[in-house]
Amino acid sequence: MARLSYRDALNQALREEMQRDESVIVFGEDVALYEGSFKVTRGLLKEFGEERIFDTPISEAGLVGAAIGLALGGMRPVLELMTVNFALVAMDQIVNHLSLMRYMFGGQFTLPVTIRMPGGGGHQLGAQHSHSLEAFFARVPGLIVVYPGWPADAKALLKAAIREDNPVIFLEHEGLYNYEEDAPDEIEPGHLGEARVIRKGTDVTIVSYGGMIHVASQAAEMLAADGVSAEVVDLRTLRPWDKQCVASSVAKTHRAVVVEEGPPVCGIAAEVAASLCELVFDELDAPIERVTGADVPMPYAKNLEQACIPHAPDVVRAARKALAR
Amino acid sequence: MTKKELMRAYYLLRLARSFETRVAEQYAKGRIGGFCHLYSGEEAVALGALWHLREEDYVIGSYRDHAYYLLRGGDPGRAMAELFGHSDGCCKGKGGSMHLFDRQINFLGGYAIVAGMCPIATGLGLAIKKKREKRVVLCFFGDGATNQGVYHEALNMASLYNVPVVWVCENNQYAIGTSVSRSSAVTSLAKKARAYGMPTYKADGMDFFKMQSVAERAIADARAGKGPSFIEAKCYRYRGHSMSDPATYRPPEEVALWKKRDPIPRLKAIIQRDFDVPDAEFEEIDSRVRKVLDEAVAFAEAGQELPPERLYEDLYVESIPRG
Amino acid sequence: MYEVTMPKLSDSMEIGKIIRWRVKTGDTVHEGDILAEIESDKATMELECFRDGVVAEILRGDGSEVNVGEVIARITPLAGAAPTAAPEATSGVRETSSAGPERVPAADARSGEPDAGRRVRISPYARKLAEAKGIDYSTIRGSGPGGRIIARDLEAVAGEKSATRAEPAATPSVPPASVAFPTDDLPALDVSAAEAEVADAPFRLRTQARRLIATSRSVPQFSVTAVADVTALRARKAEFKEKYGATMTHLVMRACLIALARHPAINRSYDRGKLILWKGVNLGLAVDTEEGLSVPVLRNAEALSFPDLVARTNELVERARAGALNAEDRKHASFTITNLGMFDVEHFVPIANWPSAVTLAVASARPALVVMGDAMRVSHVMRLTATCDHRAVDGATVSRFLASVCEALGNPDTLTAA
Repeated sequence: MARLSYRDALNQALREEMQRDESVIVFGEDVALYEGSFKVTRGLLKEFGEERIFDTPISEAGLVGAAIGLALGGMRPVLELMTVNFALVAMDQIVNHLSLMRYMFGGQFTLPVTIRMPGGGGHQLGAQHSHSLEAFFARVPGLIVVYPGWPADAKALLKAAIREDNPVIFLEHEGLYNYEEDAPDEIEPGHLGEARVIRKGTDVTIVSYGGMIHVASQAAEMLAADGVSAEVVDLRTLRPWDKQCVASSVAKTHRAVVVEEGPPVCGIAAEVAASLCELVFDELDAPIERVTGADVPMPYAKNLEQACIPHAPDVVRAARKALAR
Repeated sequence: MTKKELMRAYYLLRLARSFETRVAEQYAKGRIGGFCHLYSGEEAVALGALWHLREEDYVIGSYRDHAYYLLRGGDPGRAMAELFGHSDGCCKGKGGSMHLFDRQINFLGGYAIVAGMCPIATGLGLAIKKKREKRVVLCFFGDGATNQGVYHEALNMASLYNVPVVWVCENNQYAIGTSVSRSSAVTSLAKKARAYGMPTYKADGMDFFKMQSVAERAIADARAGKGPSFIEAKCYRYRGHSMSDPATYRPPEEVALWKKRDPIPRLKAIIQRDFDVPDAEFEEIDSRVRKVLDEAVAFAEAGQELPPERLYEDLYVESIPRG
Repeated sequence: MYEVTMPKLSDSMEIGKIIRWRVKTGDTVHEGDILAEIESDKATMELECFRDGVVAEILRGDGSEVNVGEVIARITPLAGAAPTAAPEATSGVRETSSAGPERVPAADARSGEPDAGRRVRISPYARKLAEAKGIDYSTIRGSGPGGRIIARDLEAVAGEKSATRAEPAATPSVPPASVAFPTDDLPALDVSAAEAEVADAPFRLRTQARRLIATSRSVPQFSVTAVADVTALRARKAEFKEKYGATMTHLVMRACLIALARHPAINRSYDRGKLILWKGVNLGLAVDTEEGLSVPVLRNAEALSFPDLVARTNELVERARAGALNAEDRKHASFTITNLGMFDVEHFVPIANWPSAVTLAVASARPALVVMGDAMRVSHVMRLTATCDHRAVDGATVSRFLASVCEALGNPDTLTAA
């Protein structure tokens, strides 16, 4: 056991997978020499050389296409897009190529591509640099979408993502890179598609993932101080998401609050809420509450920006509403 | 080239030409749906480019892909069945006309997004280098693709990383109804590619000999590790952009002019001049082509679509649950 | 005769107008010639000729509006050119499948309660609790938003527990997993390329694997074996083959149907607290196909005459072998037979094919020395092993059923009777 940061967890996962499998290639803007704009790829160039990790021009669409070609040609590429915001430039390659090529061509190959993308807001980076786009990817058949919130999960799930033969969109939260927790020295690849109950409770289920899982956890603590026992479920994978786990939890607690950083319309919370209605309607004692980012581009001013992002008291308020107290 | 090789070239040109005509017929009968883009007139470009490829080389191209598939060695029946949407098509009926693909012959697809496959070609080139293979990638695209952003990204990286990709631009001078002169500030498409530091060639796309000669050099250079190169093959599509395009934007005199340069009679004339082959032998090939295509259509007609229960197959490789 | 039809010139076109014919009857035409100008919903296009020949007839003239696919002219092909038949209509209604392959059944929406002029607002969970406890909630005042009755409002009410099948609140019913989660608890096999080639298991096999794992986990199974004396039956086998085209499988199916008529308690299934009492016998028959095991289902098999049973079974098996079964063919087997008798198998224990309460394995007919009274004689016996879902049936019922099957097999004439 040791303290493990989210950043180091990802770094170790990359290193271990590169050691294990020669066909794993890492590339992206400034990942090699500069060691990554968030330093996630620190030390990898030194250890593996340019054959295995290389820098690229600023060509997101071209990079995603190149990742597809690398995979089709027999490699296992791990592409870093500097942030999720730049993925928008590459959406055609991601949605209109990567996600559907296997299906469209009748299953003649697999595309074991992993694309890592840091995202999320809260650091006054302005509207163009603060997106949460997981909902865009989660609605695309053919993709797997992962968003860990904890260091140990980040390591386990990145390993699994790299070994996964289907294309994986691996989202990271920019605000979490320095977050540390105690973690075992050896971490096995995790299970994609599996949520985790990180706190057991009986009165209300709080569902979240990524950066917001910490907000959810804080809210659960605050509720506990008031005698409310909240169960917290970390989705970890957003497509396919673990309906069974969440539904079982809500069937037990009868109330649900879903927390996401992105804007409300057609988001992850909307999908979770609709599915819970389908699965456990008769167990609901209250409508499902959604706590989401504001329906507005992210402003620069600090106070305005903070008003756009969910905080623990917002989640507590929503839980109370569900409990009608 | 030997007489045998030339007669084979003639057979293949004929096959590609007649296949497209059959497709037009079947489309008009409602057997083929959606968009359908025919290669009629451009056959020498594909055949010339593919002529010197080895089995292990990769071919990737645009949605005007029937000829790429056939001339790479694909089965006409499986292509026709794919166009019919049937389960014994090369992509089980899930791709359609614009998305033929066959791993066995290293034909890695037709793509509907203009220039969308260009960075994939670069990526394939990267994979070849990483694996220290001797393969070459041939990427086909049209004049319109040279204005798309990702095309430039792909060529830039191809040069930067020195990958074995031969970029074959089928300059048929129109992107649907917009001519090159109305869409590209620089009308020499080779010049645009030269900006990325790669050797460029211009070839007469209506002449099989010239095309294969240029391609032979480009392919050999790529295989020898000299990096990417660009071939601008000037050619003409006899039909509209797709089945629903009457191509009224082209003057009939222009079409007639280019039909005079038809690669098939041209090749026949050269073969007859050099090898004194009688008409009957060519007619025998024509008849063989007809028979092959009759069989292809019959094969396609005899099939059927995948049942709806199989809708979700081939989406994910089954290593994780489907949510 | 080659028929020229109004062509489909665009994806959306349904009707075309013949602007002008460029040829007339008697003209010789060649592949590539333009026959006419056609106006579609999008543009005016040229109608291309696809066959060398002579124009025999022009059926619709200039200016006509014609449906796509209708014949507008006929061409007599030149000798050597292959005539083509008129285009056939594409095959019929394509079923749209429901949104997902294993859709989670939606909880049934409760219909509105009798309206006394005012709608009672109550949360679904509270309503469920109220019904389970037999509480009339129409008079309760709700403390939730907008006066909605919520769970805690019922706690205050002292109610008698209903005598009906009440699900205790502590065991919530969540529909079973529709999703195929990693269902193997086994550790991953880490093989090297040198020792093995690893290929994707086909979709069908993976689906089957998921089903079998789920069955072995959820269905408590037990097996009962009976031995049928088929000496008499075997003697009549050739006769039945000639007369009805019947094989041992058909005969065993019939014996089971006769026995099922006498023991209807076998023809049922257990599903999440409910007993499914099937109205007919849906007979599942395990079939060995090129792609592996398939279990098509013969619906309402009890109503069939013996010749019909043979015919319908053969048709189903043929379709199974051709991979042409649809979802309807495979569902709701209330009784399943799996026959390995053709392979010289003495005995085998099948895995339950849920929802069948009984899955019957049929082994080979083999010679045996049978003791009858004081004497021994050579008979032919066939082991029948029933694997059963203990939630739906018990050993005694199954044993009685098997005895009836054996009895039917011992009386060949009853099998082929109408």
